[in-house]
This record gives sequence, structure tokens and C-alpha cells, in this order.
Amino acid sequence: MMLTDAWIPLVLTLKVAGIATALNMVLGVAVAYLFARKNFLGKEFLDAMLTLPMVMPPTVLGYYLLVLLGREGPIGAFLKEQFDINLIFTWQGAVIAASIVSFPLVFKGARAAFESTEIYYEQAAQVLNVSDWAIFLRVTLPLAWRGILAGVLLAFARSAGEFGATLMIAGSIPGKTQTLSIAVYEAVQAGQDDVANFLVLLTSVVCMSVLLVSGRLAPGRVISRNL
Amino acid sequence: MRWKFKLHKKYLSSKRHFEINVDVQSKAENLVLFGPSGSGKTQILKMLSGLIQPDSGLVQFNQIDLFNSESGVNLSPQNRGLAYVFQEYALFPHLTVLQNITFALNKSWFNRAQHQENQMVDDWLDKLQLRAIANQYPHEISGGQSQRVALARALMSQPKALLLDEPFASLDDNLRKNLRHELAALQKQIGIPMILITHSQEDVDALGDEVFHVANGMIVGEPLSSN
Repeated sequence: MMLTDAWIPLVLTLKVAGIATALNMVLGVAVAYLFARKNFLGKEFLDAMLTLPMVMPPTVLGYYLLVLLGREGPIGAFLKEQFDINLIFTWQGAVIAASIVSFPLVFKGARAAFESTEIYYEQAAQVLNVSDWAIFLRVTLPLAWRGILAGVLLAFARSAGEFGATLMIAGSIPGKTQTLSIAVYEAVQAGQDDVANFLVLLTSVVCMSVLLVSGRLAPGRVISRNL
Repeated sequence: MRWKFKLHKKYLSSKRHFEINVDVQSKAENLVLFGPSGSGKTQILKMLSGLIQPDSGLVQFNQIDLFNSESGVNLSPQNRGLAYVFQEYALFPHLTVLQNITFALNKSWFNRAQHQENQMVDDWLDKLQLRAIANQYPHEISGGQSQRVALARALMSQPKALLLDEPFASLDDNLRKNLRHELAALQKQIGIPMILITHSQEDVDALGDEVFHVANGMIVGEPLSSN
């Protein structure tokens, strides 16, 4: 019984965190590259806006999402009308909450990684007649990947542990939107100490594994010319 | 006329106001821009290669417009056919010497672990004595070797001309002397036009057919010709 109690929220948590992390890996890295390489008006203001989810209470964030994505909200009403999509109380809603909460971790990590990569490597590749897209994949990304990956793993851990915003937007529907952290809360509320203990242990193991992997990959080793 | 360039660019910041304003015409095979550090030489070279865009002006090589602010011509660095050797060499630290040298030959989106047999690569490896270090990484080789690798990498793109930014600045005296002669011999052998920027009078004596003196972002006095 205990295993099925844990299995369903564990799989859901990994699914939600996995998709949220994949989304951030594309969006966060792309936006970070733009911030690291281009100058535009209001850049630092926009940076602060994009970092806000890291410092704002998740419940506040969840409330914002509820207002925006709810049936009466501007985005929610549009999605319902045009595509008959409803995000509230769905696992897809949980993905959105987890993506937004963990976005700054990928964005900040990747921006720092791109900014610490010397621009002359990219310039050297440009004058060697290699396309911009190939330069990004063959030079920029390989030089920045450690910093990016560390941010991505932290974002995965943060997504997997998401509680406040997820509860606000996706609720706690067992088997549908009840992730591990929400299941722990429900188990404690219901006085099911055994279930709670098991879930807590499981969550701790998942989080520790991610942290250990990210610690191994974090940029501690700087490649230098040693001359 | 081999080279014709007229460049104007203003750099405005709260700390420094700097302006580049140069007008150069030269028939020389080996053109040297000579001047102290901070005189704007590197900026000029980067404008010629397309890595920096001037506010206005013209860059012509063999009577062909590479940049012309009046007619709107602005070829990308990839399409100018000018190879550039950076002062810091900018060898890709994540790639071996051989992968660095063959970088321009690989037009795909990914770095190749194995390189295909290529006569030109073999020739340059022998000519510049790089065969023994072909599988080493840039941080494992000496300054003189790095310089040769950077040169080989630049020549492998089969450029129309070679731009060299202080190629001997980070080497010790003996090595500098040797490599200067090596470069002069190589240049005679392959007959590729070159622009070299330097703050060293010895470089000027050994390599310059025509020398323009740069100070404060401007050409000072008349060009000196060795003929």
C-alpha cells in the first residue's frame, strides 16, 4: 500500500519537474544568451523581473498565475475560448508553476556561464567562416555547459520540491496533481505518519541525489593557459 | 590598391571618450600598424575583419567593398575571407590542437572527434612542426606552440589576407626573434597579404613593407615604406 501511495506522486513529480526543466533548458538558456551577449533598453529591469520568482513567496506567485490563467483571467479565458484548454487543477498547470518558479535558476546560472566565457573564442570562430548556429553549438555551449548544467540540476530539484504555487494552481488531486511535496502535507494532515515518513525519506533521497550530481558538475575547475 | 580603409567610430563612456578616425591606402603586401597600447590598433583590425562595426566608413581589399556605410555593404566576418590571429591566440580550450587547426574545415554543427585525412592539414602540421602536439590541448602546450597553432588554424580557412594582432607580444625575447623570422619566411613562401599590428620596433623592421604610425585613434605622419 505504502509503495503505491508513494509511486504515483513520485512519477507525477518526476514528470512535472522533468518537463518544467526541459522547458527551462531551452527558454532559460536562450534568454540567458541574449542577456549575456546583447545590450538593450531596460535589460537589468527585465533581469530583475525574470528573477522575481526566486524571491517571491510561491503562494503569491501561485495567486498571480491563478488570476492570469483562471477562467476569468486574460490568458485563461483566451485559451478556453480559442483552444478549449483549461490549465487550472491539471498537471500541466503544475508544470507551468514549476517552470516559472525554477526559471531564474537556469537563467541566472546560464547567464553567468555565458558571461564568463571570453568573447574572443566566438570571434575566432566567426573569422574561421563557421555559421553562427555552429559557433553556438561548437564553441559557446561546450565552454559554458558546466555552469548551465549546474543551474539546470538545481532547477530540477526546485521543480521537484515545488509546493506553494503548485497547490494554488493545480490543487491536490490524488493521482492527478498531487506531487510528492503535496502528498507529504496531505499525509501529515490526515495523521498518516507512516506514509508521511516514507514520502519524506523518498523526497530527501531524490533531492540529495540531484545536489550531489550538480556539485560534481559545478564549475570549480577553470581551464587556463598555464603559461 | 591592395588596402583602402577609412574608419570612423566614437566610443563614449562616463570614464573615457575615445575616437577612431583613420584613412589608409596601401599597396604593400605587409602592412604594419605601429603604435603604443591603447592607441586603437586592435579596434581598427577588428573593424577590418567585421568583428566590430564602424560608425561610418569604408573597407576595401583588392578594390572590393567589404564594408561601405554609404552603399550599405557590410559583409559578415564569415564572408570577408580575412583570417585573424588574436593577441591571446584564442585557441578553443575544449578542443585538441588538431581539432583547433581543422575547425574551419568542419562545416557541421558539431565538433568531430576524428578528423578526415587532408593533405593541407598534413602539410601545415609538418611546416609548423605541430605533429607531435596534435592531440594535446591548448593548456598543455607552450606559448610559441600556441602561436603556431593559431597561425595554422587561421591559414586553414584559406583566407585572402591575414590579420595579426600583436602576434609576438606574449612571448619571450628569443622565441619572439625566431618566430618573427619564421613568419617572414612563411609569408614569402605562401605570398598571402598581411596586416600586422604591433608596438614593437623590431616587428616593424622585420616584417613591415609599409608602416603607418597610430596614436590616439589616428594615423600620425606619413607612412614609412621599406622600399
